[in-house]
Amino acid sequence: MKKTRIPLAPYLFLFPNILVFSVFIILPAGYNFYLSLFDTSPFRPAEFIGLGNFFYLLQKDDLFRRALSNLVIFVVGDVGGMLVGSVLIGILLNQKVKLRGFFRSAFFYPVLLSPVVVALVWQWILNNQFGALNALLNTLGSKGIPWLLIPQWSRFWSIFVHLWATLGFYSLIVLAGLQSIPAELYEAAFVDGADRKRQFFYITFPLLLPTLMTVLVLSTIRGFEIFDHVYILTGGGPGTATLMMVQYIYRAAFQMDQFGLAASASFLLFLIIFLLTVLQYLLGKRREAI
Amino acid sequence: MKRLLGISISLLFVVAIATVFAAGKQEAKSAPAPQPTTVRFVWFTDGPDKPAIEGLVARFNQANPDIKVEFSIVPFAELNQLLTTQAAAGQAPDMARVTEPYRFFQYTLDIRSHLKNTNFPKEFMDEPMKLVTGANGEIYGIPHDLTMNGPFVNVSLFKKAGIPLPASEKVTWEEWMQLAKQVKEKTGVPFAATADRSGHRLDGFLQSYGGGFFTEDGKGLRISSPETRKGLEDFVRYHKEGIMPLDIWAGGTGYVGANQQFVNGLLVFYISGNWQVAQFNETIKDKFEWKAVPNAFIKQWGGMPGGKFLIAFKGKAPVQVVRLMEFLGSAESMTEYASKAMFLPTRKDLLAKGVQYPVRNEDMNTFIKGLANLPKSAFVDNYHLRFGPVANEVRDRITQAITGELTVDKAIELAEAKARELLK
Repeated sequence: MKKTRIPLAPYLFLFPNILVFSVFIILPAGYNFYLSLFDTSPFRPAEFIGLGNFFYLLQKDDLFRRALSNLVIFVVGDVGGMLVGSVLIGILLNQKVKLRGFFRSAFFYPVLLSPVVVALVWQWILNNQFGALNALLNTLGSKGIPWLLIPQWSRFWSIFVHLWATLGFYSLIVLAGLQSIPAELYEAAFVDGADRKRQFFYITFPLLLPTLMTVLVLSTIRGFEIFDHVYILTGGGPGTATLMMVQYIYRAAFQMDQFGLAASASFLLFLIIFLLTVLQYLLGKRREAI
Repeated sequence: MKRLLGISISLLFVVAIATVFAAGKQEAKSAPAPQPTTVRFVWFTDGPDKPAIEGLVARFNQANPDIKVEFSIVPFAELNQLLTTQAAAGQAPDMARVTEPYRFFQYTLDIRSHLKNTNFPKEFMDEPMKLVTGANGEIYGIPHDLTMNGPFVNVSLFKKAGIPLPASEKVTWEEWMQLAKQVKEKTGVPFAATADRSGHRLDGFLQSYGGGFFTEDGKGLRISSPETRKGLEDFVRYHKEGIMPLDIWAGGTGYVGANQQFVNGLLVFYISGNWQVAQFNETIKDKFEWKAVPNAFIKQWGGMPGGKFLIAFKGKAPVQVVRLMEFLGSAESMTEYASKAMFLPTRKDLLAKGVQYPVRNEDMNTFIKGLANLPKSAFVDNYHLRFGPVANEVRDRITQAITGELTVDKAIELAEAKARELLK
C-alpha cells in the first residue's frame, strides 16, 4: 500500500504567520491568564491568589457586573440592528436604480472614518448646549434634550453611532450574498405568481442565511469588543450607564493599578466571546446538516 | 517536480527574511562616527509651559553639544498608560514629566550617584520631594512645578447681574454657590458653578470642611468621616439642585475639564487651579473680566497642592539625564520656567523670595498665598502614594451618586471599601 506523504510546503508557508500570531496573540494571552492569578500592586510583590480575582469580579465587583450587563444590552441592540439594517440596506443597494454606485459608496463611507472622528462628530451633534440636533429641535419650537446625560438616551446613541459607523461594511457582505442568489429563481417564482413578499421569505431569506450567520458572528465579536466609539462619545456615562467591559478593564489597569484584576476581566471577556463564537459555529453547522 | 518547486519557494522566503535582518545588522555595523548622546524627554503640556520648556531644552542642547535632547509631547490622558507600557517593554524615555511618579518606581533611576551637586535634592520643597523618594532614600527625580487648586470667577457676570463679590476672603462654598446661582439666573448663562471632574479637585473642595481621603499618618482612611461626608453630600446636592451642571461630572470615567465653558463666558464660578491662569490670559484677553479668588473657608482653608515631577528612567545615558535634570532644576531655569509658564516654583529659595510674573501677578499670588494657607492634611492626601487610584474611585462613586445610580451613603461605603483594598 502506498504511504501518504505529508507535504512540508504548506507548513513552511504558514510558519511566518503562525510565528507572528504566536508572539503577538497566543503568548500575550497566556501571560494575561498567568497575571490574572495574582493580586498586583505597584508597591509590593505580586501575590498568588489563584482564582481569587475571578470570584471577586463575579461576586463582589458591582462595576464589573454593571459593565457586563451594559455590554449585553449593547450587543443585543447592536447585533439586532446590524442584522435588520444590513438586510434592508443590502436589498436597497441591490435595486437597479440610477446612481447606484454613488449610494453604495455613501453607505460605505462611514466605515472608512476613524472611530474617534465618528464619536467626536456625534458628540458635537448631540451636545446639550451647542449640538446640531438640539438646535434643530429649538428651531422646530421644541426644547433641547440632554441626549448624553440621560442613561436611556445615552445607551441608545451608543448603539446608534456604532451602527451608523459600521452598517456599511455588513451591508456590503449582505449585498454580495444577495447577488449570489441565481436570478432564475426569482424569474421562476414570478412566473408561478409569487409576489415580492413571498419571494423574500421563500427565496431571499433562506438563501441569505449563511451570509447572515457571517454577519451575526462578526458583529457579535465586534460588539463585545466595543470601546472607542462609546468611550469617546459618552466616557461610559452618565455615571456608569454606558460603561463597557473594555473600558472597565482599562480603568482597572491604568486608573486603579490593579493589573491582576484587569487581566482576569480580560480573560472572562475572551471566554465569553470564544464560547459565543463556538456556539454560533455549531448552530451554523447543524443548520447546514439539516 | 511540484514538490521541488514548493520547497524552493519556501526556501526563497526564508532567505528573503534572513537577508532583511542581515541588512539591518549591516547598516548598524557601518554606522557613522559617534553622535551626541541622545536623551529622550517626554512631556505633557498644560499649554503655556510648552514654549517655556522648549526654550530651556533648546538652550541646554546649545550649551551641551555632546547631548541631544529629543523632546516629545504626549496627551496627559494617555501619559501614565503610555509610560507604563513603554517601561514594561524596556522602551521608557530617559526622562519624563509626570504627576504620579510612584507608578514608575520599578523603572526609575536613582540619580544620587550621578549628581554634580549632591545637595541638589535638598533645594526643593520637602513634602513634594517625598513623592520622588524611594523607600530606602533613593531619589528618582525632582518636583518641577507646583500647582494649587482654587476658584475663578467671571467678574463681568457679577457686575452684569448687579451682585457684588464677597468683601471677606473667608467665604463658604454654600455662599459661593448661592451667589453663582443668582448671577446665572439674572444673566441667563447656562452654568452657575462647577469643578473639573477630578478626585484632586474634589479633595480640595472637601478640605474646607476639614475632610479628605487619608488620615494624617497616611495609614488610614477618612472618606466616611462626618466632615468628608458633609462635603460630599453638599457636592452632590449642588448637582441635584442644578447649580453645578451634569455636563462635567456625569461624563463617565476620566478627567473632564470645564475651561472651555469658562473661557466662553458661560460659567460664573469655576473650581480649577493656577495652571489655567496663563491659558485664560491668552484666550480670554479682554472678552470679560475675571479673577482668581481664595478657596472656601468652612473649618479651614480648602484647596489642594499638586505638581509635576521630572523623573529619570533607567537607560543608556544616566549621566546625561541627570545633567539635564540639574539644569532644569537650577534656580535660573526654574525662575524662567515658572514666570513664563505661570506655574509655582518648587525650589525653597524661589518660594521664599517670590517670583514676579509678567502678567496676572495678583492672580498668581492669590494661589501662592493659598498654598501658604493650606492645611497639612492637603499635603498628606496629595502626596500619598495611593492618592491617584483612591481619588479616582471616590470621583467615580460620587458621579454615580450625582446621576442617582447610588445614594451618597452607598457611594461613600463602596469608595471606602475599594480604598481599603488599595491600601493593602
